[in-house]
Amino acid sequence: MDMTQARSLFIDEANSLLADMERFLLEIEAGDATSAQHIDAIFRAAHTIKGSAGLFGFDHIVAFTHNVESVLDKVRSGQLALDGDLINLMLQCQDHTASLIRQLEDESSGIDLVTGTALIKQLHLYLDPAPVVAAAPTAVLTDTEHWQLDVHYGEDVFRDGMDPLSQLHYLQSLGELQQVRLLPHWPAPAAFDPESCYLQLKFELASTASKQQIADVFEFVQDSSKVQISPPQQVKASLAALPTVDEKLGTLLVNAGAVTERELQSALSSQKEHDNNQALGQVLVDQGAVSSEMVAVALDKQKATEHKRPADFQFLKVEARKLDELINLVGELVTAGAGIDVLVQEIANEKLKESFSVLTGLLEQIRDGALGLRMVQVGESFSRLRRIVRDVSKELGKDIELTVEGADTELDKSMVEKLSDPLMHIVRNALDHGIESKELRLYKGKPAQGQLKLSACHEAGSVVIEIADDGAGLNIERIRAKAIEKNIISADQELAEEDIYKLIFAPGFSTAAAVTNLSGRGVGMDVVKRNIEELRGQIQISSVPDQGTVFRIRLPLTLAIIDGFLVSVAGTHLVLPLNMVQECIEFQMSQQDNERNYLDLRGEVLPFIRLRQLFELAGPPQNRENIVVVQYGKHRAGLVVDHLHGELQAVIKPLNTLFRSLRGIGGYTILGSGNVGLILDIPQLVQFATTLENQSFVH
Amino acid sequence: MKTILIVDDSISIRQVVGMTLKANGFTVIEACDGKDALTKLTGQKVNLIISDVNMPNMDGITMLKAVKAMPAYRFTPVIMLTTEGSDQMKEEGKAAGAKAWVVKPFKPEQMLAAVNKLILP
Amino acid sequence: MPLTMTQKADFVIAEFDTELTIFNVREAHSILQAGLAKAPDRLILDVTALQDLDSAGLQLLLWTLAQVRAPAQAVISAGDNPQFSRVSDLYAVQWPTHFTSQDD
Repeated sequence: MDMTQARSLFIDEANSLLADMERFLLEIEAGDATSAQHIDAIFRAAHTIKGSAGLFGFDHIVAFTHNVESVLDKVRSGQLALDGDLINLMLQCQDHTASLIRQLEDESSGIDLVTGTALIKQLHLYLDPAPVVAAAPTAVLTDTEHWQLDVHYGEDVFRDGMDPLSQLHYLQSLGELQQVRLLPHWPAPAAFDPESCYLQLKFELASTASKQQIADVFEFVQDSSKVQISPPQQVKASLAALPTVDEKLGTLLVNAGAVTERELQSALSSQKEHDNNQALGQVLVDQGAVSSEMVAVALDKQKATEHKRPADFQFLKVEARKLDELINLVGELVTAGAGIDVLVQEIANEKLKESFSVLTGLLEQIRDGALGLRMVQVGESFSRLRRIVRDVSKELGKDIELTVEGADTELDKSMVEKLSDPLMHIVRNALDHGIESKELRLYKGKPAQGQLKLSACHEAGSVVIEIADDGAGLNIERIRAKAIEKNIISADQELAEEDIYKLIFAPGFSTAAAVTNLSGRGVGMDVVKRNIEELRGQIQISSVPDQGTVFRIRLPLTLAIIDGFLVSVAGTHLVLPLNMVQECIEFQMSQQDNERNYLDLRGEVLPFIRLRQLFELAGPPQNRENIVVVQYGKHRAGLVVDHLHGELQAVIKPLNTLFRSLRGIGGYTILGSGNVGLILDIPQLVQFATTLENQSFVH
Repeated sequence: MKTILIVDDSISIRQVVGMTLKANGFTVIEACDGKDALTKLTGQKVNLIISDVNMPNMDGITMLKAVKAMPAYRFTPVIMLTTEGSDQMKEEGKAAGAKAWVVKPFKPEQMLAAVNKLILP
Repeated sequence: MPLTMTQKADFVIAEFDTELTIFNVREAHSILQAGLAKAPDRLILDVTALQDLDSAGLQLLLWTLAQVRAPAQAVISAGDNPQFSRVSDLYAVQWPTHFTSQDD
C-alpha cells in the first residue's frame, strides 16, 4: 500500500512538472518568454522526473528522460539554441514522458516503444551532431514506410465516367507517389472489352494525410472497385501519441488515421451480419483495413482510456490560495449573517425571521462545504512516514512493521501540513527509543519484529491520531531522574504518572541515554508539543512498561470556523465550542460543597470552575447562575457563567501574541452585535478544573 | 482545356462553382434546369456534368437519363448535388448514371476536389 | 476514325488521331483487331498526334502491345507528345520504343 501511495505521489509530481515544462515551452515558442528565462525550469523538470523515476526503479523513464535532460543541458550551457524545431521535439518528448507516466497508472497498457525510440533518435541528433545526420530529423520520418495502396478497379469504372488517372493526379496533391505499378489483368483475347477496366494499380504514397483523406480520393469508385490502404509505421506512432480520451476501438483507429469511417462501418456490419463474436479488431485485420500490430496498439490505448477515465473526474486541482480566500469570505459571510440575526431578532417580524432562517441554513451548508474543500486525507502524511520507518529501522538494525489505520480520515489541509513534522519526530522517537533491539526483544520474550501503529479516527468532533509502539514503554524512574538532573522538577516533587510522562515535553529534555544519529538532534519533544498546541490540539501519552507507548494527538477538525455556544459572565461574552458542551444546568448555592469546587451531578462528582474568579471579572456573582457541563476526552467539568445566550457560528481569529499567554482563552470572534466574544480553550479549562478538584480532594 | 456543364436553378451556386472552376482552368457552361442543359449539350464537347436534382422544367434525374442515352455523353462523368441525408436521391442518381456526388451545402473547395477526382485538369 | 492503319514494307503503322478515350476505344479496338489479324511482324503505334488520352485509351494501347507475340514486335512512337508523356508518367509506364534487332 505504501508503494502505491508513493507511486501516486511521484505520478502527481511528474505530471505537475510536465505541465510546467509544457507551459514554459509554449511560452518560449509564442515569444512570451525567452529561452534563458525558462530553460532552468524546463531542465529541472526533466531532471527531477528522471531522478524520482530512478528512485522507483522506472528504468525506462530514466532512460528516456536522460536523453531529454542531456539535450536540455546543452541548451542550458549555450551549446544549443532552443529553436522552433527543438521546442517541437521537446513538446513531443514531454507528451511521450506523460504517456510513460500514464502507463504507470495502468500497467496493463504497453509502453509505446515506437514513439520513444523515434524521439531518442531525434534527440541523439542534437547530442552528437555528426555531419551525415545533420538533416536527419526528416530522415527519421522517411525511414518509416509509406502508405501502401492497392486499387483493384472494377470493370465498370470507365463506363461510369471514372478515370484512375485523375485519382493518381489528385493524390499528388496529398503527397508523393512512389513505386507506381500498373498491373493489367487481361481476359482471354476474345473476351476483351475495350470499355471494361482490367487495371490494378499498386503504389506507395509518402504523405502525412490521414487514411480518410486518402480513401476519399477513391470515394466515387469505392462501390465498383476494391481499394486497400495500409497505413505506414508512423500512423501507429501517432495512434500511440493520441491524447487518451474516452473512445471505442473503432473510433480510436479512425482518429489515428489507420482506418476509414467506411472500413469501420463495413467491419461493424460484417460483425453484425455474421453474428459472430469475433473482435472488431480482428474483423478489420481480416478485411485488410489495418495490421494486427496496429490493432494491438489501439487496444493498449483503449485500456489506458478505460482505466484513466474515472481518475480524471476524481480530483480537481485548485490553487490553495483561492480556497483560502473562499474560506475567508465564507467566514466574513458567517459574521455578517450573525449581525443580521441580531437585527432580525430585534425587528421581531415573523416573515423576516422565517426567510432569514432559510438563509441561515444555506449559510451553514456553504460554510461546511467550503471547509470540506480543504479537508484532505491524513494518509498522505502517513505514507511519508513509511519511508522514514523503513530507512530508520534499517539503519538501527531493527525489524519494524508499520501498520496504518484510518488513513482516509480527513483533516484540514493546513493541519496535515503542520502535523507532518511532529508526527515524524514522534515516530523517530518511537523507532529510536521505544522499540528495543531484536536481541532485547527476544530476551524479553517478545516477537523479534517490533510493531508501530499509526491510526487516525474521528472522535467527538475532533480527529485523534495515535502513534503506538510495542516497545519498552517509558521508564518513569529514568524520566524523573533526568528531570531532576535537568532542573525541570525539584527532587522532592511528587508527580502522578501521567504528569511524569509529560515531562518529556519539557524544553531541554531528552530520554535517550546517548543521542543517536536520528532523533534528539536539538529538536526536542517540547517543539512537538508546541506545534500541536498551535493547532489547538492536545497530546497525551500513555505507557505500560515492556508493552509499549501510545502518543495520542487530539486535533480540532478545522481551524477556521466552529459551531459555538455563547455565554456571558459579568457582561463579557464567551464562546464555547459546541461539540464540547454536554448540558446546561442551573447552579444553586446549595449544590456547592462549601469551598470545594465540585458538585454532585446525578451522583457523579463534577469539578467546576467559576469563570468570574478565573478571569477576575468585576462585579458580584449573580443570584442565578448557570453551569455549562463540558467534556474533553474522558474528563468532564462545569463552567459557572451568568447567562446562556445560545448557539452561534464563530469565525475563530487568533489572539494577538500579546495575549497568547492567557490560559483558558483560545482565540476570539466578532459577534453579530459587533462585540468581541472570547473563545474558551476547553481542554485547558477541563484540565485545570480536574487538577484543582484533585488537589482540593487531597487537602 | 476541359469543359464542365453546371446545371442548377440557383444562380448563386452556378456563379460560385463556375468562378471556382474557371479559376482552376476549366471552361464552364451554365444551365438553369434539365431542359436548358439538354439544349446546351447539343454539339458541345463536355467532360463533366455537375447537376442539381430538384429543378423546375426538368429535374436532374430525368435529364441524366436523357444525357446517358446520347452516345456523345454516355460515359461523361456526372456529379450529383444531393442534400444531406437523402440516400434515396443518391441511389436514384447512381442508377441513372451519376456515380459521383457532392452533398449540399458544400464549400467551393469541396466541389473542386470532387471534380479533380474525376477529370484531369 | 480514331486511327488509321497503313502497311509500309514489313511494318504496320497504326496512326492515332487526336483522341483515344472511353468514347472511341471500342471503335479503335475493332480497327486494331482488323489490322492485327494480318499478323504483322512489326507494329508501330504512332501516338504523336494524340491530344486526349484517358485510362481506357491507355489500357487499349497496353492490350494491343500485349497481343503482339514474339517474334513479332510492337513499339510506341510518341515523338514529343506532352499529353502522352503526362499520362505515361503518372502510371509510370515504360513503353517499348525501339525494335530489337532480330540478329540479337
